[in-house]
Amino acid sequence: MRFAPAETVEDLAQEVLVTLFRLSQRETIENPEAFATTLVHRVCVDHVRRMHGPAGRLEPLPEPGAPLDLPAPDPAHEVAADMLELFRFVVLESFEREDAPCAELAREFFAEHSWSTVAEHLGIRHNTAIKRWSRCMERVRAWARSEQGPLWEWARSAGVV
Amino acid sequence: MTTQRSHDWAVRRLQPFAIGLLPEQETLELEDHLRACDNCRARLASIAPAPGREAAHLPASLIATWPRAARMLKGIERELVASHLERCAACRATLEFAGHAAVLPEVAGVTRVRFARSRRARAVWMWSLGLTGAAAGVIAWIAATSPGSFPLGPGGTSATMGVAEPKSERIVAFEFAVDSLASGSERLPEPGFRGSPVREVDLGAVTSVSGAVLVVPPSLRPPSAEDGARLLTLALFREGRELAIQQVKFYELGDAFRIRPQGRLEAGVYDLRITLAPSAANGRPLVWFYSLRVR
Repeated sequence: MRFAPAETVEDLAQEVLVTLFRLSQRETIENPEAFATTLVHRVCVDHVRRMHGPAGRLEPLPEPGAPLDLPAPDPAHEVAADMLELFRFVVLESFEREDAPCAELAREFFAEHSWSTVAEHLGIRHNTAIKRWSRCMERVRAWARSEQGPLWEWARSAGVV
Repeated sequence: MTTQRSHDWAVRRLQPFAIGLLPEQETLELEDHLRACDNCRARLASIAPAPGREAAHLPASLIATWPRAARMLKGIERELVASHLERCAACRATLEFAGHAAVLPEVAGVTRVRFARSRRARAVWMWSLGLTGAAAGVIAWIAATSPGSFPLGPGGTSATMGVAEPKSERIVAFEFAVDSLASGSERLPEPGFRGSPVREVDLGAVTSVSGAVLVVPPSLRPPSAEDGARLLTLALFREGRELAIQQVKFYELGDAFRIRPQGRLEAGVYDLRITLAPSAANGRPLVWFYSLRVR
């Protein structure tokens, strides 16, 4: 990341500090230096993968210590925020206000990434958890198909619909 | 299906899976694959929310680039970010820590139009506005007491009771035949007839995200197929000002209908008037009134 633009470096540093601030508000960070190093690496890797396009986040993680090469910026696809994280936020927030059961499923799933684990936590069958979730997400799927704006264009480009 | 093809199939589905958009059957199949595939599990772990970056709060990358990124937010995501900021002190504190005001900047590409008015012009403008408001109130009162006074046009809908449709968008829209089991739906009580009072219906907050779903009482459902063809008109008023009016066939109302505003409805009391055209040419229309409280 040595040759990254100054603005990019500043944004990433800000992202690291924001995350550290948030964590510091709710818990004591054990070994802050090691944690900050890990966090910086994670933020930089995520940024480089995002720059590879809407599905770039799924590219294999680079080898530890390998330099991170930024691809040439594509103004057509430049987005400042992490769309994957923003999408999760939008999904959860839309349920938080109006649908407590769906919000509970969303919180559990985004933390665990496993419907088996979610079902176990909630004391329901695996298939039941997935069925309920599918009903919860009908409206979000409709938005992803029809809404305009960077977030929904990202969703369509990333093949999430 | 070969193992390689299965793996490629699974990799393409990891992102939609991670945000919960994968259909039911594919979710089951992907979870089967994940149990046996270290590579996919590692990829999935790499996009899982890290500590301090949970989905319950504004993304750190959004806050870090707030002046640019927030301006790009539109529609539903903008509305959700705005409402989250109102209720989440932690996110407001994080924004302020990052050196940003805890408010959404204006949408990119929208220029604020400023025009200066002389004192005299301002006075005339205010007087005209007052007169327009008074006229709207009078028209609404006349329409409410004598619905046939302003017959609707051939298209069946009239936003302005016969006056040419203004080019600006309606700020509230009706949606019909919605799911009566939608979360947050409110059951309308049996209507008061021709002005007899009914209890106020408390809708809570009404926003563009899910609107307000009102479940139709039995007396507001067509008793026969013939009655189903009669025209039904719904109109929403606030302080005498018409916000929305729409006409449908009685059977199109369905078990429930939704009131969906652009943005958020201001707190206050709204009047919903439902008019059913008469079954015979010389009959009188049936009119029902509801009082809706928005918080």
